[in-house]
Amino acid sequence: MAKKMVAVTACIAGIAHTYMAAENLKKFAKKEGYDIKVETQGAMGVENRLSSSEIQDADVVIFAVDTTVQDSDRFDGKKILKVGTSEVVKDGKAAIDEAAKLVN
Amino acid sequence: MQALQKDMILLDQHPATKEEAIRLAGQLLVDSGCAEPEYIESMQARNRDVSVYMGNFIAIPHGTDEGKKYIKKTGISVVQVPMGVDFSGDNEDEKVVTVVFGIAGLNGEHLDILSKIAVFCSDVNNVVKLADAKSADEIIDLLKDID
Repeated sequence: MAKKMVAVTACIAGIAHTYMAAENLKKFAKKEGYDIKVETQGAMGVENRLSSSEIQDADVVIFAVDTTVQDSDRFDGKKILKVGTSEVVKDGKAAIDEAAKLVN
Repeated sequence: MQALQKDMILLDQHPATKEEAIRLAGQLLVDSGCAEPEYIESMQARNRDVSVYMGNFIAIPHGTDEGKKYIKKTGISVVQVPMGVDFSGDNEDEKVVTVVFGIAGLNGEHLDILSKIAVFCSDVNNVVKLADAKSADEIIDLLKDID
């Protein structure tokens, strides 16, 4: 079965980072054959909020953030990869590869 | 062609569809006297034939060959969409675009600036800067060196 990933993207510096990082995570997760759902914590508030069952089912969590994650206690006990939004915007594949390593 | 003007830039737009994003970019070209209103439909037609999505979060809408007759002078417009708008087709993967460059080009005058924009935007960090710019001046400044 495909590995399941969930991610949160958030940035306070600029609006676009949050959404560009989310797009790259989705694109490269799909390319590498992983299921992913991405919650964005951006200018419009929280969108695509991850449910507790989605978090529970995930093999790994990616925080692509330049700020603190809202309600981060939802992810207690999960394997979490933390990266900056800029890194993910620049190289989405590297973040997905790193996250995949945490699972194996 | 003249350098990018302030009134050719729309900041912080939230088009719901790619058609709306293209219309915004086209309307700037019309309002500035670069093209007739019919040119906007020609831009939509071109995007239906071949997507104007360029990768790296940018799209460069322009008209079809038949649409050239609606161009009055060469011009370029910029529409900033910080939260992104999807330029994919119906059943494709999402193709988020945060910066839309509208082009009306006569006599190949625009090809030079097009290739410079493409080179500038091949570094995604530059696209982020354009997408997060807080003023038209900031965008002009970023694109100044390529004009």
